[in-house]
Amino acid sequence: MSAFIPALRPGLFCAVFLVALATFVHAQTEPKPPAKLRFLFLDETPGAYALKVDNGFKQISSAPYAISPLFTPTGASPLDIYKTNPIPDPVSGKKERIKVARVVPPTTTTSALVILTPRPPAAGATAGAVPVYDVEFIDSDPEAYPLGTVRILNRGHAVMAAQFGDETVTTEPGATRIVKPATDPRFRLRAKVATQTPGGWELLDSNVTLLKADTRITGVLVFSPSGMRHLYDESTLYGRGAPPPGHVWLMYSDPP
Amino acid sequence: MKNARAQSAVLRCRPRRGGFALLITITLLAFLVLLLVSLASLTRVETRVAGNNQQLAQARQNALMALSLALGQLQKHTGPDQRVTTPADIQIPTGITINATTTGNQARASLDTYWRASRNRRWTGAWRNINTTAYNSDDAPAFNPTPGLQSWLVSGNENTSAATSATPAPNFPFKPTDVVTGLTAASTPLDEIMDAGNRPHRLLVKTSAGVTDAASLDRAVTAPQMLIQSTTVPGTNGTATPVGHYAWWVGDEGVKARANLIDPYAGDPSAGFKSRQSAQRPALEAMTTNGTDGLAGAFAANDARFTRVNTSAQLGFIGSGATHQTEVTARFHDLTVNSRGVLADVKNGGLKRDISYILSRPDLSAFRTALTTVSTGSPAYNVAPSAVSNTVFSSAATPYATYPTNSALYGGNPGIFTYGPTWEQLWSFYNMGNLTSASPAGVFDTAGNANGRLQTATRQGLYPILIQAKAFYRLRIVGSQIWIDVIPMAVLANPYNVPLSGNFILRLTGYAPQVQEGTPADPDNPSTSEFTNLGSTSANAGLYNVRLVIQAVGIPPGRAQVFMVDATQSVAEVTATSTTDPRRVRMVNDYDPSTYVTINTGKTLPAGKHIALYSGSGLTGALYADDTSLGDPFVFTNLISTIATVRPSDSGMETSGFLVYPLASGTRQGGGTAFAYFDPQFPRLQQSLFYQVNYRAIRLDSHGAAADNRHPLQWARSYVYYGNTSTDDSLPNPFLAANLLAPQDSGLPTTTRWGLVNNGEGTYFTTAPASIGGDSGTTGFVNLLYDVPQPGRPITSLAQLQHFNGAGHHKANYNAGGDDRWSSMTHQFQVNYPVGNSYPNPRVRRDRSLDWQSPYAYVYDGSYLWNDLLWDRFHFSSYPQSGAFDFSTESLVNARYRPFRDNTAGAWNDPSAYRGLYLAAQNLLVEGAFNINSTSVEAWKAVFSSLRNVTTGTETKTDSGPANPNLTAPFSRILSPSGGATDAKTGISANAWNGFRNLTQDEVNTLAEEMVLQVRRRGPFLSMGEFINRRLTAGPTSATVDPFGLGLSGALQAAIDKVTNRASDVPVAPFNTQTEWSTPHGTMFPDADYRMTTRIAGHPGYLLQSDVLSPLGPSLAARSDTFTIRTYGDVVNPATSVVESRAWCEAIVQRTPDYVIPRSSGGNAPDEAATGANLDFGRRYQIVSFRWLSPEDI
Repeated sequence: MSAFIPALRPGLFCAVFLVALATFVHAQTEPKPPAKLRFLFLDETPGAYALKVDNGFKQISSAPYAISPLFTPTGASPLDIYKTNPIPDPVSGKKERIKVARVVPPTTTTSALVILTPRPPAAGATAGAVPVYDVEFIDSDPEAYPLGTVRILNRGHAVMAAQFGDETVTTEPGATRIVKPATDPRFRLRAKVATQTPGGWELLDSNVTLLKADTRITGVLVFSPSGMRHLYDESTLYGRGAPPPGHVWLMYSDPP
Repeated sequence: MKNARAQSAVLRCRPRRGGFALLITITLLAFLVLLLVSLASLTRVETRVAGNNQQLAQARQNALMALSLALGQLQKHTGPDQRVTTPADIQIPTGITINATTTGNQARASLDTYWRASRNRRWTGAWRNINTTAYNSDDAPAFNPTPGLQSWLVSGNENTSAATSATPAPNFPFKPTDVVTGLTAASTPLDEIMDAGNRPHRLLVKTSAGVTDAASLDRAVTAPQMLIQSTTVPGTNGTATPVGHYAWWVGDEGVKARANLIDPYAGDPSAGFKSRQSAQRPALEAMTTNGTDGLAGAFAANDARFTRVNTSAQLGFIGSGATHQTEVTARFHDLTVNSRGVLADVKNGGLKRDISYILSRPDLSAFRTALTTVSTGSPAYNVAPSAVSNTVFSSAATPYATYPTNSALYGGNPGIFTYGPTWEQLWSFYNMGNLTSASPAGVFDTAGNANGRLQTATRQGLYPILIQAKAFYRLRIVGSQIWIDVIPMAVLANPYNVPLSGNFILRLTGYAPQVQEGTPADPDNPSTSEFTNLGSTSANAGLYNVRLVIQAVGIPPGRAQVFMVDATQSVAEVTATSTTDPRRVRMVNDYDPSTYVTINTGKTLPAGKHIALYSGSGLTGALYADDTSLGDPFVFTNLISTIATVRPSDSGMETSGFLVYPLASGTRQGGGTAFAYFDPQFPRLQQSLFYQVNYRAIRLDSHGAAADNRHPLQWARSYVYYGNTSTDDSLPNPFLAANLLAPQDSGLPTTTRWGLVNNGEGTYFTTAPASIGGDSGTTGFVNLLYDVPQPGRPITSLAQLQHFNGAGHHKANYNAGGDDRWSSMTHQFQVNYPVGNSYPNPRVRRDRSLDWQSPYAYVYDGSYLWNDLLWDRFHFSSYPQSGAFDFSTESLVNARYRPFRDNTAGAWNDPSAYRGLYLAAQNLLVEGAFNINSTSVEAWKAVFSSLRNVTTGTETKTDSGPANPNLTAPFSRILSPSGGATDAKTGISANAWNGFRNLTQDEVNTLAEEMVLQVRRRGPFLSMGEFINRRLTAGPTSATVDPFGLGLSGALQAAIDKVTNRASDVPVAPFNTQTEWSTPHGTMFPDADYRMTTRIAGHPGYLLQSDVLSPLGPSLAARSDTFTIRTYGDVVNPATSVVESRAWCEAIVQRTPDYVIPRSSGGNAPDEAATGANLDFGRRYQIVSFRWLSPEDI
């Protein structure tokens, strides 16, 4: 370090400063490209979700709680999200797509998780009416959510505790926590998630996942009235019966 | 001279005394008279004494005559092997109502009241089977033994003919139920006591049994007093004139608990297993009601002074306490110091064969020779005619294995027993404790690990259980080449009590997902209808040919380990160059979701298309022995076990998703398929998984019916976990960890629960159910289901054969189908612990031993057959089959087997006197052999408590008073459990799976009462097999058909189930719910009574009768061989009819293995079949002690 400091010259310092300033000004004047988005629908009403793309639709979620792959908008224009009405039109016999939300891709970040939650039906709403969705952006910018970490989103109804390796963290409903656990040499990570119930902690999942240095993991706690029935094939349901309503722990990884 | 005259004058002048002589004379006469009188008196006294002595001698002669009569009657009625004896109160008298709900305690109270009304419950009855019907395989119940009373062994019945099939109920003049109206607590032996028929009886037991009041009057014994008449009395002209009386009674010592035995291994930690392996002594201290009264605390267990006790009365000198002597006396009919038993085959006749000797033969040829007694022994027993292998079940072994008339239903040719358990497997099982390098080869290496091996027709297998298997997938496109990555996983459970090692090859078949191509309109919303197979079906992900070599290195006892691909292998090592590449890939005990086997499909991605992986059908997991010498390990003869699963027949579910969703480049994670054994949490269970099915079946398969929980061989169902992950997600599918229920604080799930819970809960089935304590519980990790004979610890009890795996062996080319298929399959239907148990096979009607049920094929009740052929014909002497042994200084594991012949011949240290088919039975007696027909609740208490305070598992405490009565009656299925007894009966504790049951004193008391009730309901038992087995009788239970459920279990199990094994023992659902009979899928059991009380019935903490018989069996017998004879004789003055003298005597007589007419006298050797007089009188009784009794001794 002592050898490096004398090497600095005022000229060089000025040049670096100017470049940084120019970059800042450019950033202020040219908006970032739209963030890459993932979608998560905390919704169990029947019907798939799709984005209106050009003249067609691109399905982003075939089932509730199915976290979509990364979607990169072509611009900053709003994205219209449609839901397929599971009830065919009595006249045409077709299942109509109904717009349920408009999402404006954020420009302040490079990526985000978009959580869409239907509002409770308003008083006097007709049965089967498509609800209005609340939209929440979860910033996935690497600065706040770096590689090699696990992000914990509690979108359930109860306090949750998560253990990743030696890291244990509790998260209130609605809160987000990020931990950087240590893995074993083969990147394995023992992962446990529990929710707090009046009777104590209830373990939801006791699993093993892989956390490499060039990936990051997001886990989302949600409450599923159907118990995530769509996860199971009919033979499983036949043998085990329908799952009860409850919290479910979902995870996905971001690619390197 | 003058002086002389003067003196003479003086003398003449003295007064005359002329009466002196007379006086002298008179005196002398008086003396003489006195002398004469004295002599006369003396003579008279002497004469009287002589007369009395003569009378006494005559009375004693009459008593001895009575003894001779008694001994003769005893010899006649019980000398042959095929006789049993019982107390008179085994019968439930007319007027006593005992219904299906009557408890043992209630029955005892009713019967006590009945017998205390001056009746003779202590008389001994001699019985034999009078059913002469030949076995009819179409009507097995007609062959049930029928007890026919030969005699009540008391005076007065000598001349009445015994029961026969023609006269099943002879009318004996004197019956124990006759009321002896004159008998009261004040009666004395000098009294002539009249019965209701005004017939005289003589009291033979009273004070010695502590009879003091009406409540104890049932301990008194009277015997009919019979007249002795003479036709040679002078002056009677040959008229039969009474000259005396006699009476005799035979008391059965075998129905009492032997008091003066000690455990030679007590206090020796290195030999402690012997105390658990074989009951060394009945526990007198268990003769208590509450742990403090009775004999509790009266004796110090294993007091060396017991060995010097010769009479029951002497027990009073050992114990302590003010009431001790009274308590001992009150148990006159419950305690004995004399009982010994002959090792005879009560069912078939002849001596028992020493199976310790048979199974120790050094090779199969010698074994078969020893087993098959065609030219030697009795009766002939030709069960091993083949030089290849011989099935255990044949009509030569037991008639109950005879095929019914329509034998086509029973496997046709070659018959259902062909691929069943073999004698050679039994031999192999017995020798498993040897080293692998020994001959016969065992399974142990020098490090103490047991090495897995195949089960063949001549070898008992040893292998882990494939509890779970999975195959998960992902697709990769490299360039345009399509690769399939398969992530295989297996869970192997070691159900044994020893570490288990070995290389096992896993083959996952049946589930062959297809690589498909298509052009979906929306790749994120694909439809299976948009895809078709890519080329031929060879482009699949089946691991048919990859040899997954599971390297199990000492799986700890009872544990289940997870095996995945060894991550240390190179990519090249795990790369199959084609779908038919037969490479070997190692799997090790680790959980690593990043490992895989990759398959080059040889296919390229068609331009512009997507590929996907589409689900297949059910998954079959098979374990093969890693016997490289065979070349291809996947040959049928190398198959260890296989479990085939199917998916429910719902046509829609196969099309509902992809295993790997479509991709056009890169890698996409997918789902997979998996199976895990059913567990008791599953709904609609018709079988209790740990008893009614064999957890070690070598072929778990479905056939003939849809897969559901009722199917006896459908132990698991395959499930599919779809792979609808996002294209860019690299996380392992969370369902990969499904059903791996690891210890809470462990790192990776490399070990898992199994058995009680095989399937997890939660979204991804990765959490343990709250019913067993959730994730923090300790249940299910160590399950010790089966014992392996260990080095230095050979099997010493028939019930220990419950751990023999009776699944038979594979039939080559099984898949050929046809009759051979059924012959192979039927052995997988057997229960988990067939030997020594008595619950019926749940697919066999209770009046049958073989049955047929569509579509489940041909089934047999293995328990019934095993028990029938083993329990009377064989015994484990436990005599070492090599090396020196001296009974003078050493004891057998079955220490109660002792030589009875004089040691002066030096025979006690001569192995040639004991090593042989019959030699042990010829020269040993069983000290304290206990007659299963005993009705003594107190004796049964002592017998059931034989292992009292024998250190077991983690329980080492000894009695410290009633507040801490640990180890009152421990029973362990495993010889050396690793757990304790607390909560073992709950089924949901760790101890329930690796510990043992310890019956409390209250439970012992109840068990003894229920046992006696069962003896009364079912007895007399005419063989051990009849005692062990259930009754073949029609069902279902109703008020008139099998009302007591005799066809649903044997006597001992029925008694046990009254005490424990109840649903209330299990605290939580669904484990405490009954198995089902009628389900939406129909029924499997013959009737609803076959349901077990809980779904987990049969777990190690569930008390099976085999668990009890394991230590107790070697000292149980169906008959008694030691008897006390008490007789009375008197002399009557023929002129006055006055009794002038009385005598009482007591003799202890012992039946021996020697016939009444030995071979040296033209008779038979002990191991030969009886001929001539030996047929009628059997084996010889010897008087082993004799004493005259005073009235006070009575």
